[in-house]
Amino acid sequence: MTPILSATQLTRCFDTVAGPLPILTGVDLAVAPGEAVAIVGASGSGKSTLLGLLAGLDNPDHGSVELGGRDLSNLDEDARAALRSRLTAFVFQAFHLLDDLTAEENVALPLELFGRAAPQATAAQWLERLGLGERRNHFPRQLSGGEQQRVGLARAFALEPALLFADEPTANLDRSTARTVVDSLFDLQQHSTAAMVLVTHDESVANRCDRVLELRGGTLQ
Amino acid sequence: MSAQDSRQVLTLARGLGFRLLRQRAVLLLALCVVTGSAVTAALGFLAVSAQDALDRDVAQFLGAPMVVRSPRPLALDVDGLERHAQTAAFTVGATGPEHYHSIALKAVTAGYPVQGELVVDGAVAGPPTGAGAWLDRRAMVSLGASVGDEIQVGQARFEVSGELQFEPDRLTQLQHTLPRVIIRMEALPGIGLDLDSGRGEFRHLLAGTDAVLDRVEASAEAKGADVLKPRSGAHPLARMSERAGRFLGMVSVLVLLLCGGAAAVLGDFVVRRYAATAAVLRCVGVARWVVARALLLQLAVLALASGLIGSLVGWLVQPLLASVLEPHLILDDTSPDPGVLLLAVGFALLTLAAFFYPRLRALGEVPAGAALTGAVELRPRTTLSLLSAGGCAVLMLWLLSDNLQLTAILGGGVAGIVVAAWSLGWLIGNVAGQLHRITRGWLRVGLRATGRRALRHAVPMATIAVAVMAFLSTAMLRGAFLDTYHGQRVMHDGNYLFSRLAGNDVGRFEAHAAANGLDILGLYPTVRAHLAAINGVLIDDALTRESETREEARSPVRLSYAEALPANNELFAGAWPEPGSGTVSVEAEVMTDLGLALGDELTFRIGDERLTATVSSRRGFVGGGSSMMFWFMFSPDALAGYPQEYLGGFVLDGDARAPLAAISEAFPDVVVTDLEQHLGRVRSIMSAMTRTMNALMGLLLVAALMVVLATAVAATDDRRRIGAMLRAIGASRGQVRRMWLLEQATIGFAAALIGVVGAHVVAELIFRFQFAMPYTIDWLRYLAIPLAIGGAFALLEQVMSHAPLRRSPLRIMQEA
Repeated sequence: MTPILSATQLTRCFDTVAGPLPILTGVDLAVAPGEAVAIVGASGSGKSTLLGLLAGLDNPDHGSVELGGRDLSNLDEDARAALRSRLTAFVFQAFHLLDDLTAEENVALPLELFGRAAPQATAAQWLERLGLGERRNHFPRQLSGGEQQRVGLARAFALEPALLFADEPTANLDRSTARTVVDSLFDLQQHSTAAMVLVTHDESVANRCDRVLELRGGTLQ
Repeated sequence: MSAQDSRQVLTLARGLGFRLLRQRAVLLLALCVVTGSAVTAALGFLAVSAQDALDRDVAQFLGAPMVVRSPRPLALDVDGLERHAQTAAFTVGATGPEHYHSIALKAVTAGYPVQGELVVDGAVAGPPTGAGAWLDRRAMVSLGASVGDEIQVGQARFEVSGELQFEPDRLTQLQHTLPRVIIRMEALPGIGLDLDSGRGEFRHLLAGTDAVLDRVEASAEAKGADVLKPRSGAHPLARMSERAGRFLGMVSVLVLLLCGGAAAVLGDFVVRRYAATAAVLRCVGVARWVVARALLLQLAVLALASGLIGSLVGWLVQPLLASVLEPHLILDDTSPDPGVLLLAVGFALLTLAAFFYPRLRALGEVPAGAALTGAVELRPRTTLSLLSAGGCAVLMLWLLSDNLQLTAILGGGVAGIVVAAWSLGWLIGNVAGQLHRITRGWLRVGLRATGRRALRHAVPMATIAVAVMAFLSTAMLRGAFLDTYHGQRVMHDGNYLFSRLAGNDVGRFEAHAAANGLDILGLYPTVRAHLAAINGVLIDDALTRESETREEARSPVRLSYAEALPANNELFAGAWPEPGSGTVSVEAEVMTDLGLALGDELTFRIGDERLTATVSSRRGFVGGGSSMMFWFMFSPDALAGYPQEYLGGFVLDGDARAPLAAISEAFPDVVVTDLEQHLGRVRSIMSAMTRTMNALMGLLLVAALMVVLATAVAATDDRRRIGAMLRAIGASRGQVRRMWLLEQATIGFAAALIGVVGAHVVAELIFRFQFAMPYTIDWLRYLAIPLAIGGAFALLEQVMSHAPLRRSPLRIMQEA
């Protein structure tokens, strides 16, 4: 089966006052459609950097990333953004909801931006599905951390992505809330066709994925 | 506060200080304070300097501790005086080697000046000797004369024997703008002027003991002469000095308001950024007041440093401002006034204290646990601070302008703008909220974001609108004044005006004009008089409201007469004076100034006689140009028995020197004025004023730009974070950029629209109620301004969003 995402020999260095600091030194990865892959690793090991490269938010120094069969290195920034809008969705550690929009409007935002049909109704359905039907007109500051992250999940899955990137989605939540959010995440992922690349510290969360890869010494093991 | 607490505050302030300074917003905040204090210092220094110069002129204006003034030569008993001199001043025509020009001629006796110094060719001098004449620089240029040349005045010739550089008792009003010539009193009769015609001004300059001066004063008043002393009554130059100070003060207030507004916008931003740090510090056990005081200390140091730098900049800039006032006002070198420096630094400290206090208090109230939950929210109570700031601004405007009406107009304008900004914010919110439902894609998202944040933008919008209003209304007033003067064209009565033609010389003058090819276009009889009383009440008692109106009313006026309403006049109310009716027709603006109504009784003093007439009509002027317009017009029989003088106009093209010199020689008393020259002088004064206004408007513009930058910077964090999130989920850079452009262009357009409307309302009210002048506007031209400002905002956004849109969105979100 053709992978939805593949990375070949990705390297990335950052310039520091002490000289170049290699973060990734040759990462290879392939994610099949519908597959859930967890990436674990110590703090500073480069998990978020890798996620940025895989999503086309950052450029590797060497190597290539193919998303949906398209080599990202051959695309300019706007073409990469268009590809992301068609194939991917994001769940962030810090939720990143817009303060001025209600829960429903936050979910509808990408649908509206990308010209999807019936954004409001779709958003309402997803919030209902995540148990936030009563909270759809609340602003982020009126929601708990768990509720905000569930709005984040609704925003991501409402796009019906082929690939979901989740960057430590439970790191800002307590254990009980985290469990609820993770249950929702895997439930939605399994009932969709979306593949998932999940970056996490939490082994119990990672173990629920199809594959667990550890980023160590700049490579995936 | 214990020593340990103080150490804690100092350590914290020092530790965070450099971090704070690295923020762009804080640097901009410092720049705002520097600008505000620089303007305060520069205008303060200029005001002190101008005030000193004008005070010096006022002190020397009379040229003596006491002056007796009369329209004809007056004999006085001067026994017992310590010093005494006489002057006689006339406006006459003079012919130089190259040009003919009207001049202010002053003949002086030995002993002149009694007070102050006459400076000729860089040295203190006395009156010229023999047939010599001192000419000022303008007279030299106007007549094309140099030292050693001869000039013709009436029937006499004078040799230019030096350049007059300072004359203590120079005259005011029209004479003040004319080129100046001083001759010896003994040479005056040779010119051929009729000294008893009452058209000159004869002065005795007196110095002596109080007892002697009192005796002379009583004697002079008994003879009907005016007695002037430095402290007697409102003086034109004193009024000018006072107004200059107030005007500069008002501009300072406007600039300070704008800089203060920018500081408020940035202050909010800086403290909000500091809020998370404060929450963390409180979590680790730092007391709330230590957190607030540490920031306060940092800001106080920032304010002090910025204030001092601003004062220095102001001191360096003020010579540039002073240079635009010259040569109309000669300013002395001014040493730094500690009061001005204190004012500038005081502004810096007060601005920060006033605008930061509510936020610092709110900072102390951030819950200690907020850092744990991440829900750090700052809720400053700014209503009281806004009301206090508004109240202080209105009070300052009132004190500086001493004009309640003007204060009400400007204060009302600002208040109206604040209300309009909030209303428009609400309207944009609702309209955008509805519009976004029928749009798609980035436009839909952008419209909703704009709508949702519209009310939050009300403060920056109001600040920008006030900046636009302050700038535009000043520009409109300036432009309208310039148009008024530049729009003057020589029309109905020719390009030369002649006056002071004695009634019995009219026939001879007409024959002379015809022989010299002069085409006389108008000839108007006049009688010189003074308005003595209104409804039987003496002018000094009747007009106590404004000294200026009283001063004008006390000046000589020309009464005229005609059988019917002149062609360029229009009756607004009442009827034209009928023969034998004892009535007078009065010009509309004069009626307004003097508070007259139809049926009021006016008494004029003509020589030693009194003429009383009832106001029968209210009259206005039709069309532009320089046609004659008389304030008080009678039926011919009413003025038949009084000495007549004629004035009128003629056309003279090409080289005017020979015919004018011939008139000057044949009719020494007749004053010929080149209207183009006269308007040119007025225009040159207006140009100097324009340059001054431009310089001040430049300062206003700098302050307004500060506001714009402040609002842009204050919104940067929010926009960067939202933009990064949108890009992460797939929005292109173009989509994000277009959304921000839409929002910023809307804010800029809306704010400028409010500002333009506010400026027009304020300008119209000022024109109508302060200057009683008609006001017209070119709406299309001014409606282009909001479009331009909206575009400028979009451009600024384009520049500011360039770098963030190039960065990795994930990294921006991590930083956020």
